[in-house]
Amino acid sequence: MDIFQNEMIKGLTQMAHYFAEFEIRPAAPIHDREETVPWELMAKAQFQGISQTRMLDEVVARRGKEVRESDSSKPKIAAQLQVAAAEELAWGCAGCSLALVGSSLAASPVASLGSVEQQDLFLKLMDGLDANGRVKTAAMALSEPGTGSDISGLSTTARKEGDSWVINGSKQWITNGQTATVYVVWAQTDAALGRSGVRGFLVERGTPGLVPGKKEHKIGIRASETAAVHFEECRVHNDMLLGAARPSTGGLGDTKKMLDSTRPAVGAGAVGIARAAYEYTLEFAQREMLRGRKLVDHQHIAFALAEMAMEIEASRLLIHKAAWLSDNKIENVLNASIGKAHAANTATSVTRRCLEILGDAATEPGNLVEKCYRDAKIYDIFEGTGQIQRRIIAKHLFGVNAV
Amino acid sequence: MQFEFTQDEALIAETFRRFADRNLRPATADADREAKIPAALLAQGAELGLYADAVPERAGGYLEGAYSHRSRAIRGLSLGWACPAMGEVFERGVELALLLGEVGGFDDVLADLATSEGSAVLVRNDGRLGILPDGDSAMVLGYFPAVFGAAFSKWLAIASLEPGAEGLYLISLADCGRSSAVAETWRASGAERIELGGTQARIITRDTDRITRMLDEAKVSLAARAIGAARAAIEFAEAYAADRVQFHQPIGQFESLRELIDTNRVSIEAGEALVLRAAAELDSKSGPVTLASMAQRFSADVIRKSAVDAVQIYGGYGYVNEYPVEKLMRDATAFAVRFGSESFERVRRG
Repeated sequence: MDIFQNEMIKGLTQMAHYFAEFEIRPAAPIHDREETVPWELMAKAQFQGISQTRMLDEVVARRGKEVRESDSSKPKIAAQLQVAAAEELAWGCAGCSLALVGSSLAASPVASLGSVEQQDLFLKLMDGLDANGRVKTAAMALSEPGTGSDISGLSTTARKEGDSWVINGSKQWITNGQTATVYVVWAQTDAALGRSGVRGFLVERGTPGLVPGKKEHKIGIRASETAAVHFEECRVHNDMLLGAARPSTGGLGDTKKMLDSTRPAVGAGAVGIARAAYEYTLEFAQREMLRGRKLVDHQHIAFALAEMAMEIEASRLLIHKAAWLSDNKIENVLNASIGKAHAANTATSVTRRCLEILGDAATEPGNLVEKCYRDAKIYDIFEGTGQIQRRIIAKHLFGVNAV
Repeated sequence: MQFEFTQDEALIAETFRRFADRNLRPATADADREAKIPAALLAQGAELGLYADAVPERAGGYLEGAYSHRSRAIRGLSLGWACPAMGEVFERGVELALLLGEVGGFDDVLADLATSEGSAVLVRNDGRLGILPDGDSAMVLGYFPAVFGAAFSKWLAIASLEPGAEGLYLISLADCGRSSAVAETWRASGAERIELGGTQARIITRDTDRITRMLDEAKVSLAARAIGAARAAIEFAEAYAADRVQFHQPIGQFESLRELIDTNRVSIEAGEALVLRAAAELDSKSGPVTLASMAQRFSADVIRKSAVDAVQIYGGYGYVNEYPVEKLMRDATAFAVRFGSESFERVRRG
């Protein structure tokens, strides 16, 4: 794997870490407390080429794919770069890091399924600032109130009327759901087709019938906006159907592939959280005294910290392997699930044990480890719960669909 | 060891379960959001004898004869089941009242402890305080980052087993620097940061066995509430899993989730048995006991796991504050750190 020696990965890691330490960390507590979106961080990140820009690059890169792929002298490290940066940004603050990169969830299907015209439109919509002077965001609208883990049961529908599609239904837990400039909405176009009838549509903010809904108040990742989005007779032109030219490849199967492709970066975020809690606790244990010795000099504390370091290192390596496989065009679904599930476990268990070592210091308002404990849990839920990951792993390893 | 409740205990269990279910539960979400407990609820708690039952009759309380820690644990199961933050507020002051009732000479403080608004919070010095004893009093320097229940209280009792600073110190909260420390866990409990800048304290006792015993009593009460909260989390999750359909069946029918629920149920039953046994040990002995710390540690593990697993079972719904398990996951933190860190406890015992 390139993680250990590639200068580009090292450079991006340093750059992302610098941004996390000096920009994200100071801003994070207030966004966690007030549940506000870190618009100023998003603008800085865009300016420095850390977030939205990367997402747009992805769209552009897919379009210029032939040109880039002809240059075989350069190592393919896009996925490895992504996970290296994701770990650092989440080390700064998981919620802020998701605010920075949340739009890439919507960019991904546009890049893989969209026509050149749709990609142009997406880039145009995302260009510049919105009416409030803020960085523009995009939203991937897939989950529904009745459809969390089981995305094949979508109830949002799109019916064909002349040269338009009319979308009806409600989406839930949508990142950037209230403020997005553009939405990628998934809806059932023909119930008789089942999963393959589910298609994606580009819907611009302001389209009649698109109604951003209630913002969720979450236990963690509070700087990342999560909201419901409703579609009430929302009419979009036929041109907004993603993958229209390739009907056999634009359905739900591709949606699931997209979720597979984002898993290494999501898992890397969990590693970042675990590392943040671990480092904070290690410093605490090196500083605080107990019975005449530093906490860290007590064997059970030292061993607990060593155990955490082992888990963090193992999770990171699993995730980098999944990313390396992706960069080398080797199927990584199994490894992506293993990495994500392992990292989610690591994040929840490391943050919990850090709380125990800190004692009542962890209950102080704004304590970093307490926040990490709350942030960590979502990594076992979103982008495929721990249970879904285990189903995928079991299916790939020994072919069973365990229920 | 008696496993069946006596007639009196059964009555206590029923009374507090009803109070928890009808009065406390409906108010918990608002109390958490607004970070305060309605005065009416505190008054209802007082009517049930929650403050006065540990205060001797001579000082205006209801206690005659021996105090029953088993009864206290039984009611704690219900209080924790309803709301951990409220449970902490209702149960604060009991250990101090029992100790003051024994040592005598503090009837002015005891009279306060018999009321909701005069009660005391008990904290433990984990080595960060500077304590300079001088006869019957001491000067205390340092701070506590978050003292649960302080906003509702008049007194601060500091239990210290640190070498050279052994003692139980009593300070009027009016003499302390105080600022709100409401954060994420036990939000309704009125947590405050307490600053002690050479504050004068009365020394109640220097008997380390008696102080250890006092902490043991507090730990068993805390453990009972933790088990109650864990039971609530798993009850919520089980009900949700029976209703929520994914992949064409209620998610509670998936073996992995059934296993998750069952594992927690086993731990909760084991935890409850340990808590009741630890409480019985307190009732049968006068000095420090062996099961109290075990009950605290085990129950802290149980509530943490139950709350986090309940959030997992709710999935995305568990992560938002519309459903009760999100709050229980935040509240689980305080149970683990209430009397110093786990590391501290292990070192002390080791």
